[in-house]
Order: sequence, then structure tokens, then C-alpha cells
Amino acid sequence: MKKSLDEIHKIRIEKKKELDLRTNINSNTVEKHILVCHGTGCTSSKSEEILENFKNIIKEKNIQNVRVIKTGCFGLCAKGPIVIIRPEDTFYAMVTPDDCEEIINTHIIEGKIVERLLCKDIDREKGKKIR
Amino acid sequence: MSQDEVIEVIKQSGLRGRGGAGFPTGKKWEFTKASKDSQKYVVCNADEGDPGAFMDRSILEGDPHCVLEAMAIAAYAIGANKGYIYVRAEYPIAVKRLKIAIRQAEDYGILGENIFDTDFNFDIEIRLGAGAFVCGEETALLESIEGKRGQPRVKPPYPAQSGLWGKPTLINNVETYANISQIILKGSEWFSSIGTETSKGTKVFALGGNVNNIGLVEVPMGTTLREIVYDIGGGIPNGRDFKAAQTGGPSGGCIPKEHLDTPIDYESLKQIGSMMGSGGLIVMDDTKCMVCLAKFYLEFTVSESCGKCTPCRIGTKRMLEILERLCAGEGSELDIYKLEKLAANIQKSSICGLGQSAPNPVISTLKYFREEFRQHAIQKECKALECKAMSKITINEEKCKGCGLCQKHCPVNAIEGTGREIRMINQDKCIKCGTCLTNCPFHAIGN
Repeated sequence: MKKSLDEIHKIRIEKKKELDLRTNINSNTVEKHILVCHGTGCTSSKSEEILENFKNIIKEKNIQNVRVIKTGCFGLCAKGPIVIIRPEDTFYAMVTPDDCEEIINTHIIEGKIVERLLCKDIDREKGKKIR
Repeated sequence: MSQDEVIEVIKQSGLRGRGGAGFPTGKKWEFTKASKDSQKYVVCNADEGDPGAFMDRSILEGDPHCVLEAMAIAAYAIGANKGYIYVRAEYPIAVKRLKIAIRQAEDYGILGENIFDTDFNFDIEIRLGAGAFVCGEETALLESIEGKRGQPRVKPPYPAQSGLWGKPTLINNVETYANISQIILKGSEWFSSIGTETSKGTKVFALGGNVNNIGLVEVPMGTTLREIVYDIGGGIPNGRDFKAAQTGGPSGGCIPKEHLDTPIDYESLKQIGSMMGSGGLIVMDDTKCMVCLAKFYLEFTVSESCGKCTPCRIGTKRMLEILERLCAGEGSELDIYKLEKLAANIQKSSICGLGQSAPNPVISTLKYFREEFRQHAIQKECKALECKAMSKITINEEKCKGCGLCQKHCPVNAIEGTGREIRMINQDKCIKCGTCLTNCPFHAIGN
């Protein structure tokens, strides 16, 4: 298992490709990423359960090209659990484990945004909901 | 990079300890390297005890590897081969993820013996704290790792000369370590280009209290409190006014409205009687009583004082008793004088940081809200209505529109009047719960 410095460099380069959608919103990948915050606040309001639900539903419905990813803190802890979908960069706040089905059905399958879960009042300058 | 080169980069970057005191990190590394001994230790202080703060927890849960990597870099730089992470047991997820990260690093050979085919060995063990606030003080933390009672040691000698089991020990906070790898990767110039003249880089704050966006914020040093509260925090809820913000938790002080534009860095905060602290930032609106605030933090330090030295053990208790008297409407002007005397003495004579900084919340509230203390002591009144023992809630006849909302919400039916009449509070029935106050849409209720 012990890796040399070169091998670790190789792993880094390979894994960086998978992160493309996270760092570059205009990435031309066909994948969608569902980012589920696993920071302190979100974990205590059931984000682990949300992650499991997403994974199960995706498996059940046999949806391709969607990855569910556990992330660190986004900073807006009082608005947690936070779920962000890329590449649209939709920012869902206060998501509950029961909302997962709707997010998958409406957002991932039908391609419409679940308005009621959108995070309001954050983007002061635009004066509208973040999406 | 040689050991000295690593230390030089950290020194050049201008990174200072993020645990609160702000000691230059590079210097600490240099001192620890300079101590000659066959065995040295690297310790990570993850005993985050400041009420309401969870920056370190977030780092450990979100990116434990950055801390492990930085500890390995530190160990290489000072010549240590063993590291300890002292993390509080109240952070089970952080502990779990740290354990996973340590195992991963060991599997890949990033920790262990002959790392990357060099003769550098380093491994890390986790030590769990048992919930004592004082164990965040570096020497008490070392005592606790050694398996003894968590009480601070008299300094000097500093841990850099005689730390864990009497050996030279480097001890840094989680957030300090989290900066290290980035500094090595991007260079000291990149890091020192962020921030102010004396405080470089960014700082993470746990923003809480009466503010719209509660959570973690990372800002460049030198950002003003106004930007944090109003821009990032989204302002104060319910149209209330900003009254003060407490930085540094029980060891820090309050920052009043007139200092909202103070840039947040180590020196500026010290100058106005507060401190950077580990990063707790509690915002308070005009319904908060500053005497109660001081009392709250004193309650905390009284219960967390380890009892080793008298000024802290007995002094803080006496201070708390005075504050309790003031809040109960039984205080006098002499009490304010006594508070100041005690505070100054405790600051001077306590042996560790906990005691030396315990009076800070009292000193700073007295400095900026002395009038409020006097009102408590002389007029026996609490304008913020928090001290229930002496509050008298009344309705402003000019502002009252007779909507009756207060009446609807009053749990004891103490509010009289019908229809669009101006409402009156029956003082005999009133339990001073303040429900009417928070429900009045016209801010017509006060005292």
C-alpha cells in the first residue's frame, strides 16, 4: 500500500479531473454533482441521512451520470442542511431527508428547480434567490 | 527544503497563532528547533472550548489531512518524530474522521517510518479531552496528555524548552496548522500579501447571536466588523439595532457600535480592549443587557477555573457574586469600583491565560457601557429588560396603535384595553417575560 512520492503525484492528477466540475462551472463534463454538506451544523441536522437517501434513490431509479458527494462546510450553518447541485449551481437550504425524492424527481429527472427549497435572502446584490 | 528553509518560509509569511494570543508561528518553530534534545514533540491543540465557536471542529471534520500534513511539516522542521492531537471528546465526528485520515496517511506512507524513503519518521496519536475548558491552555493541555490533572504549569519554562514529559514541544492550534501547507505550496509572499501590516492571512470566525446569517466566515485580516456583521452576516434581524459584538468568548471583550469600523486584526482588537481569540464572534442587538453578558461569561469562567491559583479560583467567584447582585437590583455604586479593582488584580496575578483573561468581558463592558452598570447599581433599572428582577415594562402611548397583538401573546393576561384602545400593562400581574416586547410591530413597548 505504501506509495512513493511519484505515485502520490499521479493520484493527485487523476483525482483532480474528477474535481473539474467543482472548480470549473463551465466544465464540459456530462456529469451532475449533488454536493451534500457534511460540516458540523449540517451533520447534526441529518445530512448523513440525506446523503444515504440520495444514493439509494439514484441506485433504485438507475440514474446515470449523477454523483453524490460529501463536502466540507459551506459557511451558512444556520441554513443547513445544504445541498448544492452542479453544474447549475443550485443552492438548496434546510433540506430534509424527505426532500431527496422530490429533488431527484424534479431537478435531476425533469430538470426543473425545486423553488420551495431554494435558499432565499443570501444574495443581497441581486436581490433574488440564489440558483 | 531544509529544516531552516521551512522555518524561514513560515517566519517570512507572518503567520501568527490562531488560537488567540497571536504569537508568531515561525518564531515558535525556531525556538523549538533551537532546543537541543534527542526527543521532541509536535502537538495540535484541538480543544476548542469557546462557547459558540466551531471553526477548528469544521476544519477537522472537513479536511483533517491538512492538519496532519502541517504537523508532519512542523515535525520535520523542528526535528520531532511524534505528534499528538488533543481533541475534545465532544467532537465525535471530528475524532472519527481524524482516525480515518491518520489510517489513510499511514497506509500511503505519508506518516510512519522513513517517509518517502527519507530518514524522517513521524506518527500521530489522538488524545481525547474530557471537557475541561482550561485544557485549551497549552501547559494544562500537556499535563492532560501526560495523564495528569488538567492544570496549567507556571511559565517559563515555555513548552518550546520543556513541554511534554519535559521535552521540547511545539504546540499550535488547528487553524494555525491549516495555514501551513498552503504557505509552503504557494509561498510566503502569497500569504503575506493578504491581511494587514502586522496580521497576515485570513481568519475564520464563527458568527452567531443576533445576526441574519449564522455560520462560519473566513475573511482577510483587516476586514472591519461592520463588513462581517452587515455584509456577510446580513445585518441584525427584526429591524433591531447593533449594540455590541463579543470576540474571543470568555477571554475576549465586547466591541461597541462606535468601533464597528475597527479593522479586525490582533493589534486593533487589543487596542480597543478586546482580543482576537480563537474566533467566536457573538453579535448582540439592543435587547441584550451588558451586565448580564458579563455575568454570563463570568459564570463560565467560574465553573471552568481549575482552582490551582487563588486569584482565578476565588477572585472570579467574588466578581460573579457582585454581578449577580447588580442584576438582582441589590448592587451599589461601590460594587462597580470593587469589580474594577478585582478585575485588575486577577489580570495581574493569575498564573495562566484563563485567569489573566477572565476579567476581560467585565473590563470591556465597564469601559463601553459604564452607564448601564450605573443604572443597575443606582437607579436599579435594566434598560434592555433582561434583568427581570428590576424591569418594569410599559407601553409608549404615542407609539401604540392599539392593535392588541401584545394582549394576544401575553401569557398572564396582564395587558388591559379593548378594540383600538391604547393598551396598558397591569404591573401587578406582569411577570416581565418580555413576550409583548418582541411581538409589538411598532416598538411601542419598553421601559
